[in-house]
Amino acid sequence: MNGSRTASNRSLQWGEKITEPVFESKNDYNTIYMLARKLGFADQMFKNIKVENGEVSAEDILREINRGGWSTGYCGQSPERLKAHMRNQHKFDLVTLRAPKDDPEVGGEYYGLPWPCWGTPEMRHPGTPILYNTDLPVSEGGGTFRARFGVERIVTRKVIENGQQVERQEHDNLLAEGSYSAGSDIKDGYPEFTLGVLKKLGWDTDLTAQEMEVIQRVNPNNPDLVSWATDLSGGIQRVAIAHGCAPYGNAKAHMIAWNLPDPIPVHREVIYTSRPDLVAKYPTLPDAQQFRVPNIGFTVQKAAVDRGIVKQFPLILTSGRFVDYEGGGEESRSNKWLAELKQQMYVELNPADASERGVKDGDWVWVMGAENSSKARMTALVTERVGRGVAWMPYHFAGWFQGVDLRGKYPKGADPIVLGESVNSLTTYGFDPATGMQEPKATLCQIELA
Amino acid sequence: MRGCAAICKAGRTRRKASSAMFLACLRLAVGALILLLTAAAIPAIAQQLAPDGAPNPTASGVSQQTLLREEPRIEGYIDIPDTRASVLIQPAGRTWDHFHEVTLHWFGAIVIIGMIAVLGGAYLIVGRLRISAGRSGKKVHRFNAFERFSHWLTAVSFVVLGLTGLNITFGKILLLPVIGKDAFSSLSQAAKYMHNFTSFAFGIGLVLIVAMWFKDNIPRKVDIDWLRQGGGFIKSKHAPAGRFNAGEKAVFWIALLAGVAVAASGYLLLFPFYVTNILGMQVAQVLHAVIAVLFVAVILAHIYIGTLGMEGAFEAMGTGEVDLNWAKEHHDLWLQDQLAKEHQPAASGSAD
Amino acid sequence: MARMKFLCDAERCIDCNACVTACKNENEVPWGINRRRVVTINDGKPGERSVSMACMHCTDPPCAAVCPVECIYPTEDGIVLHNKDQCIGCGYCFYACPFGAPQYPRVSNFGSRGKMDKCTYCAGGGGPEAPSSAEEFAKYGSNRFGEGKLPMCAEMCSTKSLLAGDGDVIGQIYKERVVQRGYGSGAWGWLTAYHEDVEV
Repeated sequence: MNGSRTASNRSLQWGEKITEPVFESKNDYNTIYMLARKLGFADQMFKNIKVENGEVSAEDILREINRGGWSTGYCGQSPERLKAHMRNQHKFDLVTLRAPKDDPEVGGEYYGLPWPCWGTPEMRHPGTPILYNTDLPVSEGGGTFRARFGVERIVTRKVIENGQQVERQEHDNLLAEGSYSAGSDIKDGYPEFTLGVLKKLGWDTDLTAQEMEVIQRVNPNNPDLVSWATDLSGGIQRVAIAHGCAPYGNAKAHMIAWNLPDPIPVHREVIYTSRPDLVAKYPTLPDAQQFRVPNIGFTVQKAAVDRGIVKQFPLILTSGRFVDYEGGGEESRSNKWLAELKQQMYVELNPADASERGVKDGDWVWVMGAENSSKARMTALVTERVGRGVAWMPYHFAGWFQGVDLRGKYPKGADPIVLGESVNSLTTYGFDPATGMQEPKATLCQIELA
Repeated sequence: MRGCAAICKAGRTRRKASSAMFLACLRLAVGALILLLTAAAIPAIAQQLAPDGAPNPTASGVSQQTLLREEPRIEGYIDIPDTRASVLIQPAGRTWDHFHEVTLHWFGAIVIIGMIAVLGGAYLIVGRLRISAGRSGKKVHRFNAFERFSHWLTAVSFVVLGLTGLNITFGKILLLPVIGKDAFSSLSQAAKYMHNFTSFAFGIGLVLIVAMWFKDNIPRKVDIDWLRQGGGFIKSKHAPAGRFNAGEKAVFWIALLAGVAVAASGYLLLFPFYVTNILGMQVAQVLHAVIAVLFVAVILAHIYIGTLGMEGAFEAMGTGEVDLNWAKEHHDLWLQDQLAKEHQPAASGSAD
Repeated sequence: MARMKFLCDAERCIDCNACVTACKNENEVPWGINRRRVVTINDGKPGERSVSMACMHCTDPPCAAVCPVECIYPTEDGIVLHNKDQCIGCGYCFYACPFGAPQYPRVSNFGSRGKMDKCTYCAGGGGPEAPSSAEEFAKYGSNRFGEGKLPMCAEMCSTKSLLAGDGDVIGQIYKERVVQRGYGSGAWGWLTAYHEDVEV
């Protein structure tokens, strides 16, 4: 159906319908309209969107988004501007994404008006192809880092003063220092723009009467609080940009993810590491309670180091995906076309490691895991795909356990065509500190001829 | 460089600053050398980089031409267990096709038609070799039932194998236009089955023949005399021979060697890729075809001499009994032994 | 007349086997018959390249020349078809084929290898069956070509590395690609199959 589509580079494109839905299906807009009608609020929901003979206007939907999408900068990409871009696609440079400034229809605009595309469509902001680029004026597609986390970070710390332990507040300025957009009237950091901020700067007089009227309507009790994100007229954005400023403020880039276990990423050795000598300097996180269960990664890591487990299991074991298979492989291995392509479970082994173990390509081997005397039997693929000291296994196989083919245990007719060992019968303890996800990608193993 | 020389010259007049100047010259010279070497390396580095400065993804890539210069086939890694599928391109296929469709056709035609022509010529010019002394009417036993059975097993198998085998190469030229494609392919299908199964009969027959007649076919001095005397083709001369003359011995050994060769290559063709790769299969087919064609030509000659070509020859394999005068003329030494055996049965019996 | 060819761009092939699976599915190809396969050169080493290979539908096809019962023949479009009714399963076409295209249901030649099967360019078969009929499908697979469509393998290629269609057109596409990106290892198999190459 017609409508705008947004790509992962933040550009929008207007798409035209190329085919009717099959059978008696309706397109998404019309389906929503019919559902809204059934539920009784279609008149309210579609009051600004034209519906003709059950056909919802795609353009009106985008216009409604434009009228409300101020905080992400989805406000400037009107259907008319986007359609002009589609008509003039050939005019846009393939590398810079910009049309020549002198073009009558799309001059100076970036293809697809990548959001944030500030202000009303009438303002004709060209879109922002690269975020946070202070080399360009905001009106030309540049931008600063948003001041969405406040202007100040106040941290209360205990300090010793005059031999007494007291609490002191430390104020960190979160606004930018020494960084501002080209052509910016404020040559410093600044907070998000509100009517109040405009008033402080004396720029509120640049607002038109209509814009002021809308601002008053948005928050009649305290219009000073109306911000660049809530001003439905787009006036605050327009005035800020006219003065070379980004509507969302100019602050320091935020590098500390304070709500993660490591606010700034640091190196931590995996639990079963092939480099126990690095564990002292780069240990894993301390044991902690995580989602109602204990995460004892530190204890397990220390035990592995103390036991010298790497001597018994010197090869790094990692697992991965086939291009043509999916997930646990029950479906892929049941599909006769795909099953034929990967008829065996195998472990990829470097030629140097293989010759040390007397293993030739295609030989049956036992892979032993570092915990619980786990073991698995499969063929060896001797290849240079893996480096020395690394073994790789696909994780798409199941149906064998510790060398025993369990095909008989499947319900009749439910066994996949191809069976094999599961790599995760060899992988070991380890849980992501933030999500609790298991560690299937980095552990130790030993391989020997079967 | 000229500036350096000037500095050095100037440097010589001031001893204190001369070492510093010298070092400066040295640095300049080394720098220039490095620049030169780097400049030489730029094309190589440039190949590692694409035109836009990014790493060139094909810097270590291979082309078909380089691969085919190193090996006659391009082979790689394949997921599926069929190892034949790992050969990506084997240009030798076209060469083998040319051999089979052009070389073999000419070779086969020349050899077989040539042999038929030679034999025809022999019949027209030399004619049927008569028993010089005429038939005596007396018979002497030459081959027993089992020997004859082994010979005919091999012979009939050979004829079937020969005809069905020649059909593969020449059938589409000679027979297909006559009976049409569908009939020809049904016939060829049956012929192929016959060829495959008859090969075992031939093999068994060959083994029997070799087991039975190996001793009597070992080349001896008398064979040289036989050859010198014209092998019985020159009426004025007498060619001595044992049970088998040199000509027959030649047939025996050719049959043994060629038979083993076609059988071995044939079994490779029957179980393709069990032991060999694609090149091995092509070689096996070439050997099988070439040797078979030559074999057919030799056997045509053998058939000629055993039937049309010589009076009294066929009954040796037909009834097993030959005329005494024929034996005297062609296998005199054998006849002496044979008569001695027939006249002294009591002597051998009482010798225990 | 358009002359149909295949061209596999080795710089784009990612060994995903979509072409293999598409062919298998479209033509209901039995287990063990590999009409199309992906071969990886220099696997695991720098300069690794994958090439998708099936019957190349050669000019002057050696398989057709060597067939004892002349059941293989090229069509006007250059597509090489064969008649399974006439095939005697001798296996000679495989020895002649530079690309290993012919496939056989039986492993030993004792009696026969069975009826030869190979890529048909999704153009049905070379037998007397009516085009796009159920009988033709059962024996040879789909007849997309008769409906004006290109082979399924090339249509499903996830990176558009496998090109199928008029030889001049796909040769031109490949040439433009090589010029645009600055590299290309050539049209694999073209010289052997078509006695001509794409100049890059």
